[in-house]
Amino acid sequence: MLALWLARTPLLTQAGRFLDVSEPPCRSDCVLVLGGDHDLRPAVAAALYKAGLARQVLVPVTGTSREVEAGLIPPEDDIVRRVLIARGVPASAIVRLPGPVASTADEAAALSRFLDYHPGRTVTVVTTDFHTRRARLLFRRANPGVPLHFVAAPSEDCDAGDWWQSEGGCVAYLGEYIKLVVCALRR
Amino acid sequence: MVGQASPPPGSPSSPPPRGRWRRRLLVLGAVGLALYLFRAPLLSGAARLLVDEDPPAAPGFVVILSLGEELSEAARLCREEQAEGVLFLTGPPRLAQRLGVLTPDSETARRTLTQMGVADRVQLLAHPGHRPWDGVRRLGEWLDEHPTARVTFLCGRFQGRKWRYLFHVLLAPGAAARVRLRSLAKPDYDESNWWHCKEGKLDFFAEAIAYAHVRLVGEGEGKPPWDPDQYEKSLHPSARATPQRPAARAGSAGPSLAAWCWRCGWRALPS
Repeated sequence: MLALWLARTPLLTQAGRFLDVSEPPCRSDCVLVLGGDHDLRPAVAAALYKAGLARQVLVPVTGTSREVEAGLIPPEDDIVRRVLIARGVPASAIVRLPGPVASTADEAAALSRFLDYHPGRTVTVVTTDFHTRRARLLFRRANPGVPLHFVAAPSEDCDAGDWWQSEGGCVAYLGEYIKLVVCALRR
Repeated sequence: MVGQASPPPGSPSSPPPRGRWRRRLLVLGAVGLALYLFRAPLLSGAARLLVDEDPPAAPGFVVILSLGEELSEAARLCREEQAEGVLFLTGPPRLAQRLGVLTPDSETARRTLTQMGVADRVQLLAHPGHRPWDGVRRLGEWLDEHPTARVTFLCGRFQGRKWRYLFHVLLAPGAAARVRLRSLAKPDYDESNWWHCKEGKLDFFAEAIAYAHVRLVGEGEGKPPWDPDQYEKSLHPSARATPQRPAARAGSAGPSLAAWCWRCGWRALPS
């Protein structure tokens, strides 16, 4: 127990890094922005587009929520689109993937439908660092044989080296482990 | 003199290994069956551990932290004269708000409450971080400035225990006694049926982890916001020789240490 306590920082960091299977940014035809974060993911996708690493940005159309129905906020895909434009992506380069999507599995299926009509396109998937492993699992299941790259966006208030120190980090990383197990069991 | 031999396998005092395993499996199966049969009381009991609220009290101010059910409930309490006004605790704007894509939550709350007929009864209590600790500290300051005021704090159904603990830790005893908690159930689930829907499961696990975190870890440290401009610069062809991870933040480790970590195969930069 003492050894575990003394080694908690490298062990927890390693546990955090296990979830992050992202790669350095590389050139591809399209960048797909996954839902769930309308701040940092689209900002990273916009940066990839502006650096000439992609020609199009794909945004899945999301399902509605109570806040959207009450008019408190716009639909998430609309916010993502507006953040992309605010960060310098022209509207003509943004492609909406028909939905509605409510989960990562739905987004993987939406990309699969897109690739049916646009075979041979290479895609970089942008999602939060701790979400890349589960996203890769689901996207490979839905798109077998399709080369996909995963680029990480940072999380709001933590990273793999300090996730256990913040409430948001703990909820995100431990929750992600639970979801990953459920995902792996539901083959 | 012959030494006492151990009983041979299969004798009544020592069951054969196969029998022993069968017995263990039977016990395990019985425990599993009992857990399955009593899953409803067990799961609702676990959720009740997270729920904490006070009985309704005399009118005072209503404190809300987010848009959604809390906002509607605050408006209802104001309309029915069960609340004098609304205190909206809000953190610094997120990137979409800083870019002007989304209006700040405080503006949305004010606009929506005006539409609901509760105009000019909203006070904004801005705090510097996104952690619940920051919000409770700001509420504590307001309570110190208004020594006779009482507030009703609206929160999610499974958040009550966490907020109660934070009030206990961060507020002066007199101030904590003036805060009443109300835990609002979602329309789709509460502690009696949360495991039937995906949102309920996500909410329960998130709030259980959050409560455990505030009790076991404490406050932790906040981080400066991530700078998208800095990330864009790192993707510029001249900077692409050593690709910088998006997780690098302004105010975190210096570029030389970050580059060294990246070259050594460290997947996340130290903060």
